[in-house]
Amino acid sequence: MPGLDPKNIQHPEARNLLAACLCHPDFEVIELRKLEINTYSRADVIVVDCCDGTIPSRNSVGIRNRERLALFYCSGFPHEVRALRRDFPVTLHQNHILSGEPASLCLYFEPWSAVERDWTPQRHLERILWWLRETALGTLHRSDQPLEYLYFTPPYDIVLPPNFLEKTATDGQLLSFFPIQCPGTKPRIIWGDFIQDSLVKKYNLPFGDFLVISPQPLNHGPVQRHPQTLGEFHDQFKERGSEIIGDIKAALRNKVTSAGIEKQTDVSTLLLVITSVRRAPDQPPERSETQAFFIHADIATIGIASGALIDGRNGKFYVDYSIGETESAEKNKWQDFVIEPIGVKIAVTPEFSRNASDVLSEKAQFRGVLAGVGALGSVLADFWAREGWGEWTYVDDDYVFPHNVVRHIARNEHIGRSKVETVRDLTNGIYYPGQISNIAIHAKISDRSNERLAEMLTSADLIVDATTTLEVPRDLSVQESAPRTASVFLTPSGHGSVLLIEDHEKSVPLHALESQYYRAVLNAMWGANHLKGHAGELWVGAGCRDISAVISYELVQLHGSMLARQLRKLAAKDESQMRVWELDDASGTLTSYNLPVSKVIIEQHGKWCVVWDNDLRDKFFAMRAHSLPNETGGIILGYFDQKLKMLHLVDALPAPSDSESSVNGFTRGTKGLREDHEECLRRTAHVVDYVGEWHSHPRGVTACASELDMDLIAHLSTMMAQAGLPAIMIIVGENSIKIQIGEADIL
Amino acid sequence: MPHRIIFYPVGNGDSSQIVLDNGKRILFDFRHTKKSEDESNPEIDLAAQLRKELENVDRDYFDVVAFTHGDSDHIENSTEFFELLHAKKYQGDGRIKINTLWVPAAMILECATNKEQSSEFVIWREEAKYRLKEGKGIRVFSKPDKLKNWLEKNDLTLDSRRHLITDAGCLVDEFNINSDGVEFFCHSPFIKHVDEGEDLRNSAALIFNVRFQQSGSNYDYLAVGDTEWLVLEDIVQATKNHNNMDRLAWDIYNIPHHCSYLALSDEKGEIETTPKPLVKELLENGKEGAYMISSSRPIKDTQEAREQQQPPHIQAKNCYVRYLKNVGGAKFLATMETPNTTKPEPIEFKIDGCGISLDKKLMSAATVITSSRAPRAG
Repeated sequence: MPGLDPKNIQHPEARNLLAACLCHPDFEVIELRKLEINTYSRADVIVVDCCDGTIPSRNSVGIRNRERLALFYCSGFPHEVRALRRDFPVTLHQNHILSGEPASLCLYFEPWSAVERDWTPQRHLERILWWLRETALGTLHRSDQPLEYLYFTPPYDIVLPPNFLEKTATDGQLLSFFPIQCPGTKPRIIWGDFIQDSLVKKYNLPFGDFLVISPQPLNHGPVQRHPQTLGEFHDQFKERGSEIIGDIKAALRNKVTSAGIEKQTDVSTLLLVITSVRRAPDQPPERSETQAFFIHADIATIGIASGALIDGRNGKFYVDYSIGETESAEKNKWQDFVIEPIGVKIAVTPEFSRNASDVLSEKAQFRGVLAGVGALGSVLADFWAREGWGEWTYVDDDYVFPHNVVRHIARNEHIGRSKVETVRDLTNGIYYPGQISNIAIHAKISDRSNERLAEMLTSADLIVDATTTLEVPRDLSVQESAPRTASVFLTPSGHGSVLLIEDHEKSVPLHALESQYYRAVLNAMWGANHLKGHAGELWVGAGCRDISAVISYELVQLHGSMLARQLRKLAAKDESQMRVWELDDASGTLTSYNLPVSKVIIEQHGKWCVVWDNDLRDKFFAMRAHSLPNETGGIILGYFDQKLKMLHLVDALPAPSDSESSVNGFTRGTKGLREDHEECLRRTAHVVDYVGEWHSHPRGVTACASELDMDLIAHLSTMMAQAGLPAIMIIVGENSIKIQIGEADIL
Repeated sequence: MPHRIIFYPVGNGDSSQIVLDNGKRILFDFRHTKKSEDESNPEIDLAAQLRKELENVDRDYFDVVAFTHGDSDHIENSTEFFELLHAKKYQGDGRIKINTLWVPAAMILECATNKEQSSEFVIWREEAKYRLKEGKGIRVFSKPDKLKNWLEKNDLTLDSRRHLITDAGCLVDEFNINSDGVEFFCHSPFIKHVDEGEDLRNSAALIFNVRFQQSGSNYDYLAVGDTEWLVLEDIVQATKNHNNMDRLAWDIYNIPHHCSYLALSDEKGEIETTPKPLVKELLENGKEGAYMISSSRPIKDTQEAREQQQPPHIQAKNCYVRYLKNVGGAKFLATMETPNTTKPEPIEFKIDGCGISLDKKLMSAATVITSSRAPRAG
């Protein structure tokens, strides 16, 4: 069209684009054109020279610093950009075009429906400059990315097993293809798998037959345009030191038995080409490339056209075993067969999942034991399997009951099955068979008679307790042979969750972390309602297991995802950690609390193993110092584990205000004590209770018990014996603390 | 590391700098106007800019400062900026040092009228003479008879100063393409231009082919001072005679004399200047992807601009752009209109293994707006 008059432009959007070009210092408008697409549709074309100076003048890609481009506008697919230079290089990120057409730049990663939301003509021009610059510098894209399809969506994608290369190369196994049926719509995915041909026959294939070839390795080469014909495809292979027709002929001969085959009309043949790429002819292959095409012809026609088959003149076609090449008019017709690209996708591997999930492979290859695959455990198992983190042995002796499906990854079809087997099958089934092999052991984690379990526990690198019991983490943490252990659970309301993980050396065992966690529950603001909703008696954390518990799967997933991620990250560090999360349900805020871990002190007193820590010791000294020169004291909070014969000291309260305190004596008062004790029980779900009394000695006095002290412990012992428990008396002296355990015989 | 060539927006004047990948810095001409110190002025505050660049690399000197000739628009206020060795009053106080001063022979030989005795040109002439007498820190281009006479008058022999003199058609000793990645081939001044020329300055100015090397490729920058077509034709002819036409090929052409038509022809032309035959040959010697730089004010395409006496001349630009396109070149740039006329910025080329490109600071509209004060709101 003559001149640059915007009136010659049909679409207002294209007029805006022209205006932007005219104002832009890096674009020079050369001419306007129009392109009749059909009777109803016309494209406006603005031809420009484009140069912003940022393209290096002699870049190896071959983009020039001044390029002539055609900016298209037509409804349907607006804003296509074509490079008009005849020898414009084939680069990454170009659209698939028909033979002889100008190169089409693939400017946007997203579809137009998304791009148009913040598209302006000015930004479009900047995007063009960006594309040219990044392409010239070779920074636009991964180098092994094929050209894009703009107008063309492959009708099918072939999905191949992750290990298909080895299987075809070494085991000589044959791939078969079958479409995944989609009732109501046509199939989109064709699976390629190593199953018997006879099994495939029942499938309704969208093509007549298939050929799988593995030609000689290709030499490393530049990006190539998608071939339009089989001949063009063959030539591209030849340019890179290989060829395909020989392999196609061999594959055809293998296909056809001595009975011959008949011609089929209106069918295509699927061609799968598996090649490896090497840097130079004398180098070993570096990576593999897999491409697939439909050849628009049936096996018999391709066979005749390539010389692999001969016409039996009886309606059948047979393998041509004649020696030497026979000349026939049909011979080179194979070159003209039109081919249509098909997408090829590979089923994912755990390695792929790790990369996609930002999980470092070296941190992910370990053996773990997941004890308890209930609601929380099954969710953790699912997350970790999808991230490719660890190889897991699932241990639980429970079955899937009807109510479980509310909060478990199990479904109706799993009811009645073992939970561990259900979780194992579901997690292993995330991948192509054989990619991961998690193990199921249907047993209690504490079952010492199970040899396989014992073996798994000793060989594991990490145990995760998700049993939501009190006993399992405690028992695991006193087992000498057990590896580093972590414990996770949800609070009874489902609004909170807890993660405790031992340090690499297990210097602060899980049972000690548990008692330090309780101290935090007692003292922190968040502890006030942390365990709210417990039954009132000793809570054993089985909130989710309780059929009547009201915890939605959302909460299980919410905490499960946080626990899974945090545990994965904390397991990569050596230190012990305690984390608590609290959900503010109104706002959706999930607040995290990082609890301090204190160095553990373990002392044996008679048959009792007393477990406490430096923080509590320092607290005793601080309370003593605060009252000097007078004595002071108060009650001690803790709990007994009768089975392990352990006494955990959790906290000590300061003297009630009505206590009597002097330089040489202390009588603990009672004011507010009952409320404090009740609050302790309430906050800790009745786990932490009164266990005894402490008091301090004045300056210069040791922690040795006085006569009065002996009377006190005797009194306490008698009182505690009524509950079948021993009594504790702790004396805080000048530089030492003494623990005495008194046990009265009430019989 | 790329080599860099930077052209500063100093109005109708010249200032450019080459920064080599080994850190060496070569400054061509210096024009700092007092009005540029006012921020609202479009011209760059060259003194502040260069000082900042040197501070960034912890330097207080240039390896080379070359004055192509002594016109004021090439040396303006330079005697306040540089440390001069010949007199105490030009020393210290944060002045920037010059390791080697490059001057055309004319700069030593030119006579000044009484009125001009205090001009900066005279100060630089004294500095050049001082350095030449000292026998260090200077390079003089061309050795006409007049220079020989001057040496004799000052009891110096040509032999004792020969290593400080480079003739047209020769490479400058200080730089080596293998070790520095650059070499300077001297096109001008010719001996005849100094000895016979009437207009000693413009006809005997420095002209170089600066050849950069990166990843085995050569990139040629033709640094042309204020030269007119007659001198250019002489250079083309001499270069042809010596079979050195590759030294007139250009990836970057520094357009002479602020885009004056006189560098193309003696006829301005109505719409477009037609270059003289040998100048045309020079223009056709551009390489694919090449650039042209005009150190000048913005070049407008208006009736008034077409008629104006002073450069830049739109007719000359039209001619340059035509030839640039013919050779498949990239872009014609004028220093005072890049990236815009209100606040032009230095034009910075980088030369790396991929070729020559502009080092642009790509900024979104929002970045531009937020990087300066907003206008007062009412």
